[in-house]
Amino acid sequence: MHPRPKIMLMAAALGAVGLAAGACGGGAVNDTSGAAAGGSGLTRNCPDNGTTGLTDTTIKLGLSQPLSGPYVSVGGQLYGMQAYFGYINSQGGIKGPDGKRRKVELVYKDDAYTATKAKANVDQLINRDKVFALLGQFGTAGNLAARPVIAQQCVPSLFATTGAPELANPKYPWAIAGSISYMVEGRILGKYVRDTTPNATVAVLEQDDDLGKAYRQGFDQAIAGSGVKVVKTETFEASDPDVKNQITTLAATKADLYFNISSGLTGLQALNHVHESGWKPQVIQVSQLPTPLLNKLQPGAGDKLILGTTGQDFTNPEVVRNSAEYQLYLQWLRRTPGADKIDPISASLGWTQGRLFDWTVQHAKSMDRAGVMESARNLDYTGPTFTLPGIKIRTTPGDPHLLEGLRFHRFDRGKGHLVPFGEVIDIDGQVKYEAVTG
Amino acid sequence: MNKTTNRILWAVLLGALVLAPFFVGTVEISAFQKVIYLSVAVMSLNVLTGFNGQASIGHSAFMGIAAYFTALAVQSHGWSYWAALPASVLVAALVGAAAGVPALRIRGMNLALVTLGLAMVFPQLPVRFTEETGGTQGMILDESLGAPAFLAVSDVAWRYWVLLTLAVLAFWLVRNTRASRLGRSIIAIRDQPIAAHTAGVNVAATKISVFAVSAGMAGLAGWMFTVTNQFVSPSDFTVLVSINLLLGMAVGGSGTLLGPVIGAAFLHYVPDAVTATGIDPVLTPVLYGLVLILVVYFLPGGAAGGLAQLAKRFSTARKPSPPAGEPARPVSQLTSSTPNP
Repeated sequence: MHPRPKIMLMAAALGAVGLAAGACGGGAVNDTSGAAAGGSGLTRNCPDNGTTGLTDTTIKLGLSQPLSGPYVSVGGQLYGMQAYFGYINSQGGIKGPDGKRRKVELVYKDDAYTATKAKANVDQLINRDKVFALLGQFGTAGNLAARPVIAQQCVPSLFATTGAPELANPKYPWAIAGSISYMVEGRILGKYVRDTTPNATVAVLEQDDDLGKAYRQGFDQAIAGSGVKVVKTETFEASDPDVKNQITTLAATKADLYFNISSGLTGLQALNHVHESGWKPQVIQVSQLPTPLLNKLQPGAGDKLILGTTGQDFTNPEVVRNSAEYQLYLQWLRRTPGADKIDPISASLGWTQGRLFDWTVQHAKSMDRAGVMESARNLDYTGPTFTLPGIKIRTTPGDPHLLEGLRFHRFDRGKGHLVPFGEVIDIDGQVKYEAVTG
Repeated sequence: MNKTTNRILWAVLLGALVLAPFFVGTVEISAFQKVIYLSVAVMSLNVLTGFNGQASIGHSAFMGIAAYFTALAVQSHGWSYWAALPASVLVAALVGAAAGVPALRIRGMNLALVTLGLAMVFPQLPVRFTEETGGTQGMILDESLGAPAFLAVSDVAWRYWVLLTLAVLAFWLVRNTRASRLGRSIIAIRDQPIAAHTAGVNVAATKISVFAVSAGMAGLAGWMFTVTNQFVSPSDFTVLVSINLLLGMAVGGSGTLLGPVIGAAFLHYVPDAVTATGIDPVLTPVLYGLVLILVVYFLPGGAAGGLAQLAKRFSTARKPSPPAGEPARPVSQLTSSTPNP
């Protein structure tokens, strides 16, 4: 019809020319990043790039997290992290095992909470920006999507912001989570129920995805073999507009306990419905319902609610006053550009991640990627912290879970904050990696 | 601009694209792959909206269906990517044909709403079948589309060439169809459905076929997505993706061949550029909105239409000027370049 195929031929000819000349080119066509190199243990099959991103005076870190889009509100950690690095850089930088102090340069990219964008960002951070390590990499799906890139290039991805149990998978030793695993939290909640009410009946509302399943799996493990019995489970989709039907069904069981595996506004809604139904169970709440939201509950709806947390409750002015670390944090957060529109409590996570990174580098045996990763997998942090006293911040190569303890709190509606009770329950060292099977 | 210059320009562009892996690094080539699958996705929408005048906010779902089909076939059922290619395109096309049926009775905004439903429901499906699909965490594919050993090129470059070839084929097909009898009926349905019907065009069959072909092309983009990312998750196929494709089409220029490429480049590079300039990324959607308003107002034919106008001015400056008062036509009015039946 038209002589357009000639163009294709021309293009093909050009391609052939290129192929013939390919051997001497330096572009993607000769990319050998997938090729295996020598080494043992952690560094087996790693390319020879252990000190990429380091100079004698600087260390480059990368982070991909939502900075735009519907989940932008959860991305405050960046500002907390910048506050910490502002602070430590003013002290001359982070001291490495080689005695040198290095200032931190943080390269961050927006992924709008899209996993593939997160993966592309990590690819760029590692291969173009040449960061030494990733810190506080955000979100479960984004972490899992980027995992092959991290594993292939042997780049430490430290204290990722996710509680997915999958981050502890020993097949991928270069990534480590910073939040308590949902499954571990479920297990501690289950242990508490088993210890305090050994013959209770439980009705469960469960988010029908990997998050809900991880909580439930941990809970079921803890109550197995005891007199605690789950009498009814109702599930919902994270996008469901209402969970009233599920609550009506659960309320009909008149169970002793209600296990609320729902977060955010849905969690709030469920608790209100339980209250309206006239059912008065002891409520076991997962920790994904922050205090400012709890304060929006109908009067009476949170009266019998308990939850376990790892962090101190900084909505309580007294706790803020008594924490020198938090005061220091606030002082540096105020100097961070853009941080004025961020909720300091949610941003404080970034400060913690900065602290942990600092500690990890200081305690590394060698100043390279493998040394820092080994250090992160042999961590016993005892520095200043926002974590509740008594909860160990510890990892071992066989148990990479950073946090495995909770302290239980009651919600005090009158005061508008959480009130701790009982001792910390810490199951450090008892947790092995386990896939969520659902 | 005459045909020969046009052809030379396309050939140079293609040549440069084919040779790119010899000169630029892996990160850039990965980015090019994304631009390619976005181009195909925008083109698929272009076929439906730009040429046939039917609206869809459901194309993220067609992409997602093929992407997930490929992921499940390769990861869970041991298919090769090559075997999954025709199958995933076919599945997307079938769903597209089914979605096209309501288009026979409803048009415009109402049709857009029906397809919107599709786009909103799709991301729930992988979550519903978490055991098979990994749910919200997404699904990683262990297998990659590797280069044949005898070529001795990197896998990244190979995947790029595969995607480029398929995209060129798809664009070539669209171009030739547009110039054919079928293409003229498709455009006639957009401009004058009643007249087209009177002239003997089977409006119903054509509309459904266009819907199916368009969805199939979106499916091709979905296959490319999985090949490129070796990962699928529900968040990659939200209704926002559909809206971005519409934006890409508007910015690039609907009803053209070059438009989708420009639109896709816009969608991929602008958010990065925003972060790089130090503007708060929260403002990216605002910037998108602003660009969209400006484009619709000043460049109704999109960037490609604007370029064509510009080219026309240059070429007419050298030739005897056309009769006064005849405006330069945007490329989107391609109907005028084909003789009326």
